[in-house]
Amino acid sequence: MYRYDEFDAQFVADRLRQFRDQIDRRLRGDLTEDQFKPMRLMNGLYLQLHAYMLRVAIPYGVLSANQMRQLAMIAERWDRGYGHFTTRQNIQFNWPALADVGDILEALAKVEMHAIQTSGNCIRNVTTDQFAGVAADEILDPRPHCELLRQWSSLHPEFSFLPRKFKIAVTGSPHDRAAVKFHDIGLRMHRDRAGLPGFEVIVGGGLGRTPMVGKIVREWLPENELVPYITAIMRVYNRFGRRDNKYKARIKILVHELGLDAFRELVEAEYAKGDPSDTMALASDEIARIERYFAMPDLPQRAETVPAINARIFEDREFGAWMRLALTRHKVAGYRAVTISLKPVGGIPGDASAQQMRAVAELADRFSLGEIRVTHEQNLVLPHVAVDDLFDLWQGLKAHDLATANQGLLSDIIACPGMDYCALATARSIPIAQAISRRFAALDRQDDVGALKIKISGCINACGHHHAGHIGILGVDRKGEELYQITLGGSGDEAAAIGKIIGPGFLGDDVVNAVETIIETYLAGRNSSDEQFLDYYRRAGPAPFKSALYKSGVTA
Amino acid sequence: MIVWQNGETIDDPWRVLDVDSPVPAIGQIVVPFERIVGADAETLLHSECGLGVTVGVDDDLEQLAPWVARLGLIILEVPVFSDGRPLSSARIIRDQLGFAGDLRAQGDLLPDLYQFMVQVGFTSFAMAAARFAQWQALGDEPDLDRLHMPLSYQTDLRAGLDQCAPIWRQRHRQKRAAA
Repeated sequence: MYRYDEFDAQFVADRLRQFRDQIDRRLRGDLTEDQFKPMRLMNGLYLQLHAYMLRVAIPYGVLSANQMRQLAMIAERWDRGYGHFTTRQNIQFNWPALADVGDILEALAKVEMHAIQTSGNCIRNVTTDQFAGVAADEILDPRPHCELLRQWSSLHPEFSFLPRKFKIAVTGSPHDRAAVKFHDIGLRMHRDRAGLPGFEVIVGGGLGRTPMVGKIVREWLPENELVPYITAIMRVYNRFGRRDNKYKARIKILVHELGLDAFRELVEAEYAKGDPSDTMALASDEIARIERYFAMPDLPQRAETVPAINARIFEDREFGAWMRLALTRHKVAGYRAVTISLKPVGGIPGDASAQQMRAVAELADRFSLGEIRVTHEQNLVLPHVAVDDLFDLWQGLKAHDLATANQGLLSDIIACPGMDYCALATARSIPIAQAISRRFAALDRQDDVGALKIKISGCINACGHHHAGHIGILGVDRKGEELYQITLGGSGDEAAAIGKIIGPGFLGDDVVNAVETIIETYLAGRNSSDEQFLDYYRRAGPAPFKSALYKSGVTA
Repeated sequence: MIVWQNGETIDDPWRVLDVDSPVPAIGQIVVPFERIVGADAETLLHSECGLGVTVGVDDDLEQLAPWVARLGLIILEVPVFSDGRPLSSARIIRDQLGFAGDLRAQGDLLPDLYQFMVQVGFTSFAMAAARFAQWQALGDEPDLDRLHMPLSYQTDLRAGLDQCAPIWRQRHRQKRAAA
């Protein structure tokens, strides 16, 4: 894991001192709310429906056991005993008091964490594959470049007052688990024919009210040109991105209005004007320094198959199901990355209690070299677990209601906080997720359905990524009533697609029935259990779903 | 209008000409951008006056290129502090056009952005008296320590570097120097 040196530590300490002063000036009335707002946002502090919300960055989703314990402490001392892991690998505390925020940030700084640029019109927390550095299918480990971008983008003097927020995601695997095509900039690491590392640069993807799949602006960018090239993109966006309308201010609109070719010309012309040699040479030194923190830990090879564990699978059906769903292949033989579901039946997706956070920290220390990851699907990962230890780990998780076996299945739902917390929301999302999860609680049934991603947003801003859901649900307000639009066929992976609205929306009470109808339609129509939901939708199209949903008159 | 430079308020030596005031024989004058790309560009170019120009956020910076050697002052207007365009304009004027004179930010300036403005190359700051009071509220003389400017990931101002470069410039320069 990356560790702060004296420069990083000093930066975070100074930033905290500055923000404490800004809070004081706001409380004294020396700063107006309009002036204070961008400053608190750039320090992760939102004003929500009921209270302030503090969004803490978990850079590229990597967390140590000690950091997790500190998050648990914060949840207990200054919040209501829990935290919410988000789709951007952050954690949100929903109930802090403004007067306590300085102390909370100080507690975070003690474990090398901060809330800098988790909000505001600046470059946000850089996200990546939760299995970075671990997954057997990985070409290159994206974490060192994520860290480089974190440092480069933090309080960037030129790019801290952009037209709108800016999100960068990086993947180093052929299977995209970071949804890079739905980010302002998506970076796909790979090697050229000579084996040299570099990036495919994707720009202008995004969700929100105008969903767009990102477009390739540069097919090949050598690794050491990353910072100057991204600087050129950011400068073009900062200068020419629209500032007249908040809803047309993201880079995707600029790329769309200019056209990809014209946008690319602007970027390449800007890039050609710079003399990045000094930046590049020093960035290469820095990458070499950072890479040492991300070396694969010394894991002695172990047996891939452990008879005692196999025996347990047969003895304990529940354990067997978890083994089938929770594990991802590791680069080192005899190890697995384990996904801990934060989606128990009827639970709030992404929520974890302080006690659960401590339990995960403890298990990470025992079984995963003290390392934890946060996923964009709002789950946690222990990245380095020996096959030998899986049963003990499972028992440890089960004791804290963390052994749910539904990873990748229907009830592994992404949902935004919705109108239960959020000031922007127009409908509730959490109760819909809970109702679906209860309806399909039986694992046999979920298993039969197979891989399925349901994503729920409580407003058009799409924080629940509904456009990218195989089944997407969007809550809107229609004359004071919550109405839910359903989209089908979205996907956030390397074959990114935006879901299409299937027809008129449904009232809250009818959404679960509609989802069930969609699933029954798929089960009845698929060629075999090998044909997954998304494959079936792509083959059969919306027609069978439409006729099943609307023939019975369940529409609102 | 208060003009602040090098840690103190100064008597601004520049006289602002509007769109159609005649060009004087001598003095230091600042003209709107449209005049240097307009009909009296030649007059301005060959006048004996010290010359400055006020540039709006929508003006085309490319057209400044032939003027850079002639200009002693470039003023970039900041219509609202949250508009980040002048921050990019400043870098282009410094790095690409090679302007070495006084680069001034003028308008809705917040002291909290002072560090960013210095890092991108601004050297003086002009604002209404009421706004300057907000800077003064932080101390008699707004300076970096009083404004609680953090050591940025981009350049340590206190080390005297005035260009924007990431933290690793310091980190590795120190290491290289030590090696």
